[in-house]
Amino acid sequence: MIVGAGMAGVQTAMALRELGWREDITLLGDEPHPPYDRPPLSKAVLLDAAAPAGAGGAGVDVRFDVDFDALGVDLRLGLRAQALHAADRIVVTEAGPLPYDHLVLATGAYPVALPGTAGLPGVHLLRTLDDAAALRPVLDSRQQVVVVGAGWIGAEFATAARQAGCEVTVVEAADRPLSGVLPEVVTTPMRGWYAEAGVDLRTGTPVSAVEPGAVVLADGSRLAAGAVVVGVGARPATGWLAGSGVELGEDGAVVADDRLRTTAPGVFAVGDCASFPSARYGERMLIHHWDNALQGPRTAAANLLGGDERYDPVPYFWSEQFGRFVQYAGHHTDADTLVLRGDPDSAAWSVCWLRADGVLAAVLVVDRPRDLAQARKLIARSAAVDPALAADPTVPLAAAAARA
Amino acid sequence: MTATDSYVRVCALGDLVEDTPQRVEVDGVPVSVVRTAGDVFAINDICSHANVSLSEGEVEDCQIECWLHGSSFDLRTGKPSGLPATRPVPVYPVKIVGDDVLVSVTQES
Repeated sequence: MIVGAGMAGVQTAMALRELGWREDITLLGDEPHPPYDRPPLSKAVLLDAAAPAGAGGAGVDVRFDVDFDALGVDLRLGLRAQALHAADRIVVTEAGPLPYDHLVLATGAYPVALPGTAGLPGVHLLRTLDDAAALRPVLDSRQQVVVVGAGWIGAEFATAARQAGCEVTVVEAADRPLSGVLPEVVTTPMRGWYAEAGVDLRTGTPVSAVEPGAVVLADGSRLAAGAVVVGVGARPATGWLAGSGVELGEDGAVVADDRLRTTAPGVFAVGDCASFPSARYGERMLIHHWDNALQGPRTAAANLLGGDERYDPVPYFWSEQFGRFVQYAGHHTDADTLVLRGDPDSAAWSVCWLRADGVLAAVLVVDRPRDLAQARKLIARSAAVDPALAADPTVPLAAAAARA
Repeated sequence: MTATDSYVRVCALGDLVEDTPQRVEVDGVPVSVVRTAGDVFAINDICSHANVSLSEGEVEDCQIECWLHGSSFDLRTGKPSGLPATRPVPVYPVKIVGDDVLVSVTQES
């Protein structure tokens, strides 16, 4: 049984079949819609003229291109898992207890709400197809929008809202966009992207209250808002696992090992809901990105079927914002040396992070997809790169690596 | 070119840089032309997984990789060799005549 019918759950079902699993597969999803791909929700789905196809309209079709009947997967939609009794191998659902032999947890993450705004009309999150559908009228009627949080989702939504002709203000409690994940040398040019798109970016200004039709900031200023979109992070959707016999970490993530096994026998975990120890980076990682939901299930399925594969990916994600493709691969810390590759005020540039031993740890690229593709391979084989060559954008990144 | 000859000249062989795909259009079809390992291949430029141009991607071991999602395809057969794509991409026959690279999109090879 697989709990969670997002990318990670669907990929698990596909991987199990590809690897030869012939027994029953039940795939439980709490949303009523057929399984769908989330990245377009903050992009194409918001801007398409017609309602999204996955929501019954004729527009952008975000449904996965998977024939669940042909795969022999018993898809149970609109059915929420409420509890797990790992000792008895039973998942409790709204439709009663369901026994399993093997279980894969793929319940993903839920977006964090602003305190005090639950149920307030005009306040939106953006995670699901229904969330995106609820935001379409906001864009269609060109309402004045306040986005809370200058992170990845905030920037993508602001991009779409500006394209639709909305007046957009983005408020960020920290002093710059993406302060938790990227250094100033990278985020400074991003300020220019907001400005160039006509978005009013206000940093260092926490929200003190959301009222009907307005957002009040800590500095006392009041922003009129036809709609408020909150993008301030996500947490593993694991509340239902409390007391289940599956260990959860302080961050709420299912604690998996490097084989993606949980602490309960026969139970694996993949995607946004689980953390795992990375030998590559020497720390436990909780990755909330699409690529992790694509790769992890291969390992979990192989191990569920008796294999012994270690999961130690090079994390990867992308963001489409303000007419640019931003891509990031790897994982860096403040201890790594940052190497600029091109001018951050230009249209296309990259940055590399090198460890003390010269090994490429991570890369961020703006409209330089070849740098990204080459870096992913270099990082995967822990290749050292020459800092001077890496700093030269005319030298292919692969050529900056020491020959293995 | 005669009526029975559906091959269209897309570029000069000398224009193609080894392992660097070049996007061309043949009869309205976007095609990625790749010179690699001593041969020239033509593959539909749009990834079968999502609307992404393959010609922006990297070529290695006769595979072309989608730069956004990471799917890869065999340049010889169009078959997917890496996730997330599960469906093939059309590949087309290529003829080299002198220094001219000719591609036919009316027949999939």
